[in-house]
Amino acid sequence: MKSSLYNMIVPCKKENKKEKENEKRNGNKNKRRYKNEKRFAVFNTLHGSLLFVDEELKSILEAETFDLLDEETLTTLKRLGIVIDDLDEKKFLSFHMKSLIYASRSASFSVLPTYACNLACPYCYEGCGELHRSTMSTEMVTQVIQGIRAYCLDNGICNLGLTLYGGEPLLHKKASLNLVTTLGKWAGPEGIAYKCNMITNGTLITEQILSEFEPYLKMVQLTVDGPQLYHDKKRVQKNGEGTYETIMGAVNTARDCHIKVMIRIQVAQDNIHEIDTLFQDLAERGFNKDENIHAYVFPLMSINDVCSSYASLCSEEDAQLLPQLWRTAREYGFDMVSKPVQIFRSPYCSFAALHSFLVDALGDVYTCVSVVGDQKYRVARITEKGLKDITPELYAFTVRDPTEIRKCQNCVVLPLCGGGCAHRAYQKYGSYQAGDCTLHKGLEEEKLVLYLEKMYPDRMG
Amino acid sequence: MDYEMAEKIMKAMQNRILYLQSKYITLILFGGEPLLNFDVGVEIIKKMGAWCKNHDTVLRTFMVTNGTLLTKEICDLLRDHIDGVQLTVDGPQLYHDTTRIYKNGKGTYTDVICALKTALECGVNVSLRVQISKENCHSMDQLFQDLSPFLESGKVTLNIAPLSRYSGICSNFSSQFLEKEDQETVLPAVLQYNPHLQPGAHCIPCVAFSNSFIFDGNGDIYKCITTVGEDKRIGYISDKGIVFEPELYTFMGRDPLKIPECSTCCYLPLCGGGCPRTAFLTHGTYQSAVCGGSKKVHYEMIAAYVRRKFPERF
Repeated sequence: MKSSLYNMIVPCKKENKKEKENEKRNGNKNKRRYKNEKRFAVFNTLHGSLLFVDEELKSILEAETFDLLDEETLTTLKRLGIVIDDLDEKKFLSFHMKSLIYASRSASFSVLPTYACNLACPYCYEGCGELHRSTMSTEMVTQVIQGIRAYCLDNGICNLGLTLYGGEPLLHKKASLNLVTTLGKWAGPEGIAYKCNMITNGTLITEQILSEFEPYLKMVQLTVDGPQLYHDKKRVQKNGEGTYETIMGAVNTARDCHIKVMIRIQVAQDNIHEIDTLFQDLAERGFNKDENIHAYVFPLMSINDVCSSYASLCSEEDAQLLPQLWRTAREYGFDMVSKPVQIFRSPYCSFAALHSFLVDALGDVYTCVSVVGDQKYRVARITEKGLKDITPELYAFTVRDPTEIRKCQNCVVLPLCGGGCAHRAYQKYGSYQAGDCTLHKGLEEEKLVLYLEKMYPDRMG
Repeated sequence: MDYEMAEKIMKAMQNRILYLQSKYITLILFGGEPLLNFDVGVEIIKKMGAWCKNHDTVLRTFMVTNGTLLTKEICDLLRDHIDGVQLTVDGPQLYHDTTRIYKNGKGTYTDVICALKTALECGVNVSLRVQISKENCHSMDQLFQDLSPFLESGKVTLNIAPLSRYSGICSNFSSQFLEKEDQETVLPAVLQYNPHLQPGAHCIPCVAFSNSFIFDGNGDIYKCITTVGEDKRIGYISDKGIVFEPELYTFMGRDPLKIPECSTCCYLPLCGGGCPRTAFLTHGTYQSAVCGGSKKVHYEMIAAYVRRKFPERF
């Protein structure tokens, strides 16, 4: 018998009056549990189970002095996976993670109809449409559609997700529309559930255009770079004109068309202290009260050589400021943090799955947005018969097993982060079989605290 | 297995199918002797057939039987619900009747051949497993003379396998596992009579490493057929559905690429590291190699396949 490797323990507030009163009413049945006022939440990251404990029980879990426990408490701890008998937790994690990766009947294709973009954001990792210039030909669009169909049929796919990506996908609306609607019309009769999302800069969105993508387009992701004053200096048209109001208009247009909106808020070193102004504006526009609008903050960081020279990129240390932003967002009515989820329920990266690919305008296939267009990282080509010319890169990327990474395998965060971003790890260590803690270490605990504060306000300080 | 447990198992199977979004299901009744609990078996097959039809999934059903209870009446009942039965013979009658016997010691050969005939006449497909040992390998011609009318019908699928310590229990692995001492005697016979020599890179050693479960009459769940009823269950059926136990993760965690003898072996894609259960019994861990005479089996199988496919080159 031992304590789980994956017990994340965070302090709660010292005293719980309600619990004390209950204790008195119930005749003080369990003296040991309530004699100390310091409280902690034990969250088992492997099973997603939660238990509030006092300092004594916390000490017992840490020292593994289980003989001090009564049978009932021990049974509860075992049921929650906080204490284990003979379970090999790494094998458990590996099994469930591999089940998600390899046994999934869901396929996800992100398709990039064009590298072209009408914006000139200085941090763009694709070079603002100037570095890669390809646009999908009519023949290639047909080839991609046929290839996705063949792939789905060959692999018994039950759920197909299509994400339009770019460049700016609406600069090649004909191809985007053909992809979305042709696959949508095909999937239904085949018994395949289908949904489509679009990642767009929002500057070309009109009600007419969105209506053409009905009924398949379910969500659009738009990006803002902070409050208008800042955003309009960074996220600009080729002529330097700001895009803030246009993007806000796009949010409203999508709302009117009943399409969900995900607002990505990019945080840089020089806007991090202005983000609350943005939250305020978004709240004043009523976006915080619309259940179809969600927002998240993401630090702009170096992901490849193209963008690495941008001076205001966040460092890994800057990412530790995210919890403060999450709290501020909550004050303005935006809930950006949910209960921490195991990677075998929701993978750490949308491409960490066997059937998840990014297809560019030339029909080249990749498994990470940060390397799209770089032939070194190409994993296959898409043809009318599915994926062909599969390269060793696909196997190197897919078989990553974080339970075998030394620095990860005993880390309490592992079931939540899965070793972190595989490509960032590759950049740092030259191998996917390495861990990257950026955006996880320290932050998963903060996410837990935020979740607990929301769900158990009486227990948290 | 009683009806109540059968209902629980069916519910568990259905939930598992939905969870995995499986489109193709294989259901195999075996035992013991499944025909000794025929009514429950038929109930499972019928209900699962109806459920799969409603859920747009393809169900294939088989029964592994010793054949002694396979009458015309049973075959007529089975025909519309089952895709085939597997029967087993241990060589010619003289040998078979010393190994596959009734409780009173009487041989079953005549009854098995009769069951084969009855099944085919009733339109039930048959997979016939022929087990070869060093005792019977020199007299197999006699068996095939008896079988020739059935084989000529084209409705019998032959499965030739060495009678190893797992034969009769595990049909997955025993066809490729051979004790070293049987290489000179049994292997040539296996190759000679096997009509389907086609080496293939299956990558896994047996179906236990796919999405397969074995349910016993108590609702206990196993991966390996040789462990059924022993202490190596990987889970059980509770009122809330399947509960997995640590054994599942230990068993499925086997990675032959990390077994030194296997990781550089050219036969690894064919054998998948060999039988995990044999490895466990031999070395105390699944994370170990067990070859026996398997390398020789694979080598000779490839050689025989190539000789048959390209005779002009030899």
